[in-house]
Amino acid sequence: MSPWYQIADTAGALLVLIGAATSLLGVIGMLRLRDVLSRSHAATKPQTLGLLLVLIGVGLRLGVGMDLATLGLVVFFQMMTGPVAAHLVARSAYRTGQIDHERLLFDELDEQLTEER
Amino acid sequence: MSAPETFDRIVLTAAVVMIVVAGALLLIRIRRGPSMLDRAIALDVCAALIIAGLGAKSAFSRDPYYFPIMMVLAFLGFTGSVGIARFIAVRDRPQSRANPPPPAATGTKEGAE
Repeated sequence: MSPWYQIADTAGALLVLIGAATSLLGVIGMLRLRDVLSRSHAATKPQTLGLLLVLIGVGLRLGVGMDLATLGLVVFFQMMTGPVAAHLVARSAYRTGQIDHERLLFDELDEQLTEER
Repeated sequence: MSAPETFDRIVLTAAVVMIVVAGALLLIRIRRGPSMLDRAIALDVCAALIIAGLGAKSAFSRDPYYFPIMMVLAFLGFTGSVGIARFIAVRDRPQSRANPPPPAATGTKEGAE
């Protein structure tokens, strides 16, 4: 077994560990933040960065072409569906009035909504 | 088993433990609420954590056996939160400082009695 395989294995394991730590930090942020929008901000860490690091680590440890393609598809679908869900949740939070408007720095949606009337 | 392989196994076990702890903390968030939208976000993160856990398991045992499950979760994991945000959250409003409870005369259950 060449040393490069060993290096790739250990680097993959470390990337999986870093991704898991990122996920844990994001979930702790979800517990500690106090707003729907700020919790949504914390929720994107496990969804994008943590998952990306974990899957790159898995790809480094497996290293077969077909498996890498499947992992790429997982990353692609996750990146594609995450913003859709986040957008709908934030929109629903805005429309049902669960946002503290005084704490927002910019509120361009409010301007557009009031111009409609 | 060689020494680097033992190191890899320890690191991956630590990763799995971290993901499980994150899932437990996420259950606290789902239990606490306060609104359905928080639970919807937590549901999304739960799908991402399941994918990450399956990935760590695959990295541990070097088999691509669970990859289709990860792909289906990545593809369909957002539908639950979209459904909640679209159909349920409109009816469910938490009572907080920023959003005081509506007066009882406007058709709530207490007003109807």
